[in-house]
Amino acid sequence: MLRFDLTTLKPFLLFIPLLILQLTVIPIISIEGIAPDLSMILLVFYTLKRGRMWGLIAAAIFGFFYDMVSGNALGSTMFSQSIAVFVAGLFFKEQHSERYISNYKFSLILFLCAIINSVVFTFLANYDTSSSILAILLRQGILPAIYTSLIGGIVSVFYPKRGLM
Amino acid sequence: MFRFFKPVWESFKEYITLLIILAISLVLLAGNESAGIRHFRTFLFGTFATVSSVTTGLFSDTGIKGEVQYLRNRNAELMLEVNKLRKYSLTRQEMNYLEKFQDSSSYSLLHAHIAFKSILNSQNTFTINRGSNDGVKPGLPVLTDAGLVGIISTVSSDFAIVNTLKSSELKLIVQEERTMYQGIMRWNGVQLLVTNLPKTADVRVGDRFITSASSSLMNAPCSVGKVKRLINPEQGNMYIVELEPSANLERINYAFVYLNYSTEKPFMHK
Repeated sequence: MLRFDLTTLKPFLLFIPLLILQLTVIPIISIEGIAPDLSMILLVFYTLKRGRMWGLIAAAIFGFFYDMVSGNALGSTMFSQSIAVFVAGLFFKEQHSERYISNYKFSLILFLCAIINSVVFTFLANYDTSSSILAILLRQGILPAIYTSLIGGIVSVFYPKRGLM
Repeated sequence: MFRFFKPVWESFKEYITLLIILAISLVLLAGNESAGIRHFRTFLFGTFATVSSVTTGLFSDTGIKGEVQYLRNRNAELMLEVNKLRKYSLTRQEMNYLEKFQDSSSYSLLHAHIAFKSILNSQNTFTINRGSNDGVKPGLPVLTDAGLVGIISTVSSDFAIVNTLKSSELKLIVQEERTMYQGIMRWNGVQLLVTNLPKTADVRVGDRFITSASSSLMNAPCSVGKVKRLINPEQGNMYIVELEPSANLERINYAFVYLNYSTEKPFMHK
């Protein structure tokens, strides 16, 4: 069940500075235009912690806001992130929310979700018949997903076992 | 009624929520260009850009030196000038146009800092620190000394969003500099392509594409990119060519808005 208190709002408060980092710092550390997706890390993290319903609503809000400020077609990120987070929610276990977060499994789930997010977005926003599906999968799916899951791995390594998040 | 829906909701609430969100996304995608959404977007991104510009300053070069700015400006002007001269030189060889050439080297370029970049998900957009207060309008070209970067899409009072070459929103008429054949440049999510080039065009790897005089978006000659490879040399009636963009979109921090492109038409022979 969704409960709205300060703990629920914490990820939304984290999202704004994270979005600023995404748009200002991440382009500097991008490699040949391949960049990690910080909002995906946040969404998958909290979906595994709080459940699929929470993740879906957060993905819709984050995606909407990201589309608004980045100039993307409105609704495109909202669509792709919601599907990716829905998949992440399949791994949610209410009594064992830590099971997937504080070890390598978090990176693997993040990798899967980042691929789904990127590929769905690419097909939705700019797919045409001249695009090679393999090239899209590699260039827009797998490579950014590897980068995202590496950063996500760092988050899971430093994840505090109790309380803070 | 409620008694009927409650167990359905309890069993499938996540699926129902997902469907509702996806439906809302598709409705928003369909209404992307509506005036209400455009106004709301302008307001929201303007506010966000103002707030985040404080952070941006921390990660950008500290204090733009006036001289550097002047040199960048001059480089961009010279790039446009060189492109024009190169084009006229080629034209002369074929059509003897040179006596009609009128120098119009007063380019109005507005220096802009790239406040932030969105490089996720196969769509690259930049936000620059110039807006309607500086005379920036949607549709104006943005370039560097290397070549075209993109076209302004949304403008708030102090900031503007640029659809870069790596954005599927941007489609541009370009022409091969040597043979003058024209094609349509677009981003397919992975590659920057020029399509609709006839097979009779003698296009080679390394050839340069510039913006076309017949383009309504950018009619001054500005380098777009060089041919990286011919995708379908043996198939179809039209070439599909992959370009390497002239401007390094991953690394640029500054750009120029070409303010007077619509009033001055350097390709119109009088």
